[in-house]
Amino acid sequence: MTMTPKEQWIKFYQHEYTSGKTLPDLTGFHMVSHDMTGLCDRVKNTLDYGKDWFGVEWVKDSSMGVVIPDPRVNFILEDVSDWQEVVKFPDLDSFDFEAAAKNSGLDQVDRSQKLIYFSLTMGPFERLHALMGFEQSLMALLSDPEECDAFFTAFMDWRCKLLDKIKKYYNPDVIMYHDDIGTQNDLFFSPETWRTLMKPHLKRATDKLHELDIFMEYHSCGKIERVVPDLVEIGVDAWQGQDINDIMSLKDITNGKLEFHTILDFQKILTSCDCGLIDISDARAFVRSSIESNMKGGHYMPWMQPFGDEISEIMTQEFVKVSMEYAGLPGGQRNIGESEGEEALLNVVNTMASSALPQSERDQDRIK
Amino acid sequence: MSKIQEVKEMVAKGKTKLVAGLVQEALDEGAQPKEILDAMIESMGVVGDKFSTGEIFVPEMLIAAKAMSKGVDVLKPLLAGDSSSSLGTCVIGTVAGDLHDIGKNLVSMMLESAGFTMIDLGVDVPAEKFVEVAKENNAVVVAASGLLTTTMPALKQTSLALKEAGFTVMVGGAPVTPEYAAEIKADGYAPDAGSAVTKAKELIKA
Repeated sequence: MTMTPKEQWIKFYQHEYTSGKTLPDLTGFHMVSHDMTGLCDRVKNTLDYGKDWFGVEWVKDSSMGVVIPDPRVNFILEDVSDWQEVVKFPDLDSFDFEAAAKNSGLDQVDRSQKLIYFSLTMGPFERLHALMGFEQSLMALLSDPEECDAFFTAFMDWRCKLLDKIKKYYNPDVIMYHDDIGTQNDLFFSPETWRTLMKPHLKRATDKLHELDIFMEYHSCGKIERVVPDLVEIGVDAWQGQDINDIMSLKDITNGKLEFHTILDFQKILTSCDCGLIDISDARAFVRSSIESNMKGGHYMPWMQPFGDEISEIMTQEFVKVSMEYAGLPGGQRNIGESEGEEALLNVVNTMASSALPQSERDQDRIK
Repeated sequence: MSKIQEVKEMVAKGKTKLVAGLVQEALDEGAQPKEILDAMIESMGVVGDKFSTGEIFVPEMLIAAKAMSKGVDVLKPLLAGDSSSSLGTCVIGTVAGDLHDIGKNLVSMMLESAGFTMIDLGVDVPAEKFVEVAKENNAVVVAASGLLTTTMPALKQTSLALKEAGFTVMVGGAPVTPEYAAEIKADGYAPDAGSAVTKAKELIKA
């Protein structure tokens, strides 16, 4: 019997989408991006400036079209030892989740056909460095590990209440749980530091999501190969990471117990295009070959993070095209443009694109 | 163990609360300020190498740099006017349109720890500003950073402007590759903060 697009995605997160010859159908994937959730864990990318729930000031980074904690202002927390006096955890009971969920447009989505994928940013480490700055927070992990752990524990107490609210008002199938821990070369900190100070809290989040019957997709950019086996150990269902990691080797190591929702290495391609080393057709070929290489053995789905320029848009289009060619319909391939789900498919892409493009450019830059 | 050896060890271990006191003790025992400074620079060189090989990580490097800066604070009044204690002035910044400063800050700290006099222009720095400040301070090297593919054109503009003005340029940032560095006429490229020190020293010797 043919699976619906949503069922294909459910199988993916259950580690049962294993043929290696097909990919889950993008038309069954409905992303509630950060800007759509209505939560104030960070400021919307549509704004030039704002404060989040914790009082952190965010500013538009025009180079990406997204907001980042303003590096030019003083941070809220100077010394992590002062977190109990300084950090004010937002009162979740006074936030109108019902209105936020309604504004997210989820009531228009056919949940029988679509998997609801909810983007939740600002994990414990991201929250710590938003509050006290990146360098200071990294040093605090070494100089005051007990205080950092106490802060993370209190943060997770609050966070678990937030997860309850998300379940109640949005009822997603998957939460993309964002907490970046890597550079393009390695982890920000040692694996031991991560295992001591962050892994227990990621496990707690994973357990909580499973208790709520929600799949856990952990997001971290960067080269984090050293701790990927740990994700399996604590029960994470999928990892949204970057193709700069050796995905095929990691699939061997994780042995079918982790799904790889992998962002294509667009950075390498854009730089090579800028150098004139490759052209647009090479970029398209790269997208196809990356997908076709990594999908062998299953447990893989590509992802794209466009940044609004021409090449990344072309790569995004190619990602959609190749993904749809391999959409899991038994007995054949599927071509973009012929699919009855094309409109829904473009919504997926535009949701991704809209999280990266400045407001003024969004309407004119929609992918046609 | 000599006091200077202790200073070196405590810098490498990032013992920020101990280094200043140990530097003072070394001075009291008759060690020369330049000798102590060189010992700390050597220690940070080892830290940078360990970072580049993945043996230690950003926090360990940061905390070592912070420990060294505590020691340098003690030495500064004694080194004033001693030009031999500096490798020269390095101007550093993140290019126009880019607000990312973490990688740039790490490189700046490591270059300072290696003996360069750093002028940090911060983020979102126009090419003309790089050139202007480099000229004013007779910079021996200028380091420009860009994190995003979307700011690569600004990195190129900065590098070309600096080369046109006759400066030695090194570039870095997540999307930057050796090929791209060559394409935009930069003299050097470093993939991380530890390697940036090696590259900067290489460039000023060339």
